[in-house]
Amino acid sequence: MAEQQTPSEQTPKRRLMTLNVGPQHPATHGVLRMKMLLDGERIVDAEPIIGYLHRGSERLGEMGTYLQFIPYTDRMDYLAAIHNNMAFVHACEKLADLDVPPRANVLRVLAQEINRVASHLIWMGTFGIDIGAMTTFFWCFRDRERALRLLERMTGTRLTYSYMRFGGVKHDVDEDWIQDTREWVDQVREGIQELDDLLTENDIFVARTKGTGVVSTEQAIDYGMTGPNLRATGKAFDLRKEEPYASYETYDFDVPTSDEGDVFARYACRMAEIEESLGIVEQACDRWADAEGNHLSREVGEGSSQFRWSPPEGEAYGRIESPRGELGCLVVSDGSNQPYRVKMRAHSFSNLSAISELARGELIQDAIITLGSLDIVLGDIDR
Amino acid sequence: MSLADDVIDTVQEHVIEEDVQKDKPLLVTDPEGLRDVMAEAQDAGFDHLCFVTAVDWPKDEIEDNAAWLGFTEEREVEDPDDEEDEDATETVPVESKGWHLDDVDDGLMEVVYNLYSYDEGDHLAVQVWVPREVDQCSVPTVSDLWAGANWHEREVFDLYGVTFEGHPDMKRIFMPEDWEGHPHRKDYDLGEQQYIYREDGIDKVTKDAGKGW
Amino acid sequence: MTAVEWLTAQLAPLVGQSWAVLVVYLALSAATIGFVLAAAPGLVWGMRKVMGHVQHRTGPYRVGPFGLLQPVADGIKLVSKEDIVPAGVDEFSWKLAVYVLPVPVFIVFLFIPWHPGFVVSNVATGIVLLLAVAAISPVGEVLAGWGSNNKYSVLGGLRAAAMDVAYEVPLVLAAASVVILTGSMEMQAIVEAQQGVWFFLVQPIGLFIFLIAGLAKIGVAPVDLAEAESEFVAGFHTEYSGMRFGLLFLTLFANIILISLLTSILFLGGWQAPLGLFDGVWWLLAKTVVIAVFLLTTWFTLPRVRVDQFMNLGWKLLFPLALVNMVIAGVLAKGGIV
Repeated sequence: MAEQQTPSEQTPKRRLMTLNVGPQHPATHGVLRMKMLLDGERIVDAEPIIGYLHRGSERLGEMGTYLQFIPYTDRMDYLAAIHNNMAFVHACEKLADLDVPPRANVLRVLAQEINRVASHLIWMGTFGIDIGAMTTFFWCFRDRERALRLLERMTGTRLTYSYMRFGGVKHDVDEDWIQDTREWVDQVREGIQELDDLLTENDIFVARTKGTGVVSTEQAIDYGMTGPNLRATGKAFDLRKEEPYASYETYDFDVPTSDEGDVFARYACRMAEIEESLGIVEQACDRWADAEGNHLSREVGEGSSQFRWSPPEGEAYGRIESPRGELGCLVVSDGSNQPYRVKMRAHSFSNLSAISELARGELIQDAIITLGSLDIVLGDIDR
Repeated sequence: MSLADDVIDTVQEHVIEEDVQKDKPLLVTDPEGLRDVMAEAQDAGFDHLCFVTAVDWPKDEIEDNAAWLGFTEEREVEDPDDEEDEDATETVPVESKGWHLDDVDDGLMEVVYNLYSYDEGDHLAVQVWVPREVDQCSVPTVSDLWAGANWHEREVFDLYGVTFEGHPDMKRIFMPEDWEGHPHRKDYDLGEQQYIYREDGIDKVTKDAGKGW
Repeated sequence: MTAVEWLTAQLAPLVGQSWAVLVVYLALSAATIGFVLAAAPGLVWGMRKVMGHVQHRTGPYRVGPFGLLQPVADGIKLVSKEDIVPAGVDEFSWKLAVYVLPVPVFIVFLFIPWHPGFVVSNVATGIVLLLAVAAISPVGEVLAGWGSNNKYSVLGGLRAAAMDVAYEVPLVLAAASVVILTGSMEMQAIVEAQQGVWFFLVQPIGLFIFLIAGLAKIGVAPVDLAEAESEFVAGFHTEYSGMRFGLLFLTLFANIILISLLTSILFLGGWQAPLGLFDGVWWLLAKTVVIAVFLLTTWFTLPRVRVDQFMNLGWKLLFPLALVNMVIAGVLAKGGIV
């Protein structure tokens, strides 16, 4: 009996090519490696390989005191360090039922929203590089630089803030800072308007991003995608609204959504979120002068009492809305001054896990902007 | 009645323990019942799997934390020898999380799932406690229920050595393929260095500092 | 009598006719290529300044006045770099590509009508020969891509070649419309025919096609598909460093100058002055600078197009449009309107 031919032998053989994109590659936003199987320029299969930045932060957390873990959180999602601080502190405070004075909450909101704007701007800039528009990168970095200067005056550092403390924040700001922040809000509004003029109705930009990398709501939930990536599929879910922390329930803001779930929708969502964040910053600036209480809860206090502080025995999961989605922290305490286990629920980790499915069958160019549009930070994925 | 209570009622036969952990209900089940519980929870409306992780409890740690973990209980001594001390209590081991402290050899591994319902806004924590010996440390996968669980389970396997049965791609995610040990385990030797080198285009691991980097 | 004939006539009594022709041509060619070699770094400086100002920066300003010596510093850096030949490259084709790419571009400048009566090589088939020589570049791109032993280079080189082939057609057709209007392929004749009416007024579609196709030929954003740094690292020149990279870089800028010059000559009247005042090379250069700044601004403003979208644009829109444009040119020429 003649050997049966498989379909692939009957048709002319297509030679597939394996292409390693990364770990050093301009489009991978860090040390991510994408192992792509290519048919010409079309991706047959893409496998992300991560771990190049794994530092075992969670294990390191078990070896120091609670306060000592805060600087490690800075270095996970280094573009939104305030939110990482916040997630850990939030989980610990939840475990200890610790109340935060209103003034500290205003400061937390200010720091978080400024950091959120800075983070979205850097996303916009690097996404511009992905799509080949170098100018957006510089425009975004200009406005982000101003945000970093504000955060530097507020926290003492430019990038790794370690600003949150148990029961409050490290220190207060002054009237000058509030004034400069108001000015900054206007500057960013102008900058955003410029970006909007440059990109939103640009034919090339729209042709590239509309209909590319489409994620349905079901897919997003299946993969545990959160944040703007989920909201761009039409699901209006924002932890600041659903599970308010730091008194977000008292601020007036909207949750921007788009229905398409494509790259353009994610872009539009983030741009709209910057606008909402600026609104929150303005409201917080108004409240700052009259906010009651201290910048730190008297229950814990400053200095060495922060260092000694630890929550009681138990397990708690606290989560916050970071610029990239749900950033959670699971803290298990055995009552000693060192955490028994800290687990950061990394938003980028879940968001990235969908890339295999999204990239399959796309052109390299589309896969790269889809990857860029997910807004991943490798420090956060690998921890 | 909350969504979590619905689930707990439906899968009553698999529930070993139910509790409230801070603001959310907690359900402890066993590896056999896990898939039923998770499938039921997903049907009931818990559509978001926040994370999967593990907490390592070697035996000595369990003994230190036995009280709040529920492995021991303070009881009034029924027949105090000393008649004067009527309120005397004694610490007795009790069954908790499906385990009796005497049955535990090396320790236990707590595998934690956190579920959330977008529609109802409810949380549900699911825990499974399995022996921590690497060869016995396994639970069924839920990666077919939530695609996002795939990577989370690989992470837990990599760092804690929990095998997820039925997982389509059970391999390390952060560490190199032939790394020795699971770095987040409490008894992992952090002092021992392992180095990576490249041979025939594949990353390999060695303990010889001169050979790798 | 043209400038070349005049110079030869001056020299002929001293060294004889044939030597005089050789010397004059060699000297003029060397001068022209030298001019381009000097202009390309000038354009690099201009590019950095334009880019800087588009991006709310100042651009270079430390090396020399207004940073004018920055390209010189860059050049010294490139020359003094180690000459690295990566392991596994196909040395012959890899090294050859560095000559195949720039040489045709520089040769082309010999056909440019710079000034009334001055063109180094005034051949009767000027524009066709010019475009034919310039069309050698895909060979170099594929050589560089294939020789590099790098997958990014191969993909980049093939993209570059595909793009060049696709856009060579509308480029030539747009130039052909100008030839129809002129009735001559001679470069000087094309410029002289624009006495009174510059061709962009009667050939706006031609100008549009020529600019887009020219942009594709240069290969910078929004159509830098061949060296898209976020996709293919640097495309076909990923593996080149030092002066080899310098040569490829120089080719890019010589190409920008070439396309700007050609646009000025074919559509903006070359050395013709507006209102017929003071014709001369200065007008050609001024027009070239305007076009170059326009191209640079486009480069820094627009995002990159997708490869299939761009190919569709070339074959499905620009190609038919160029044919229609040729018909229009024919009607205009036949009707004696121009």
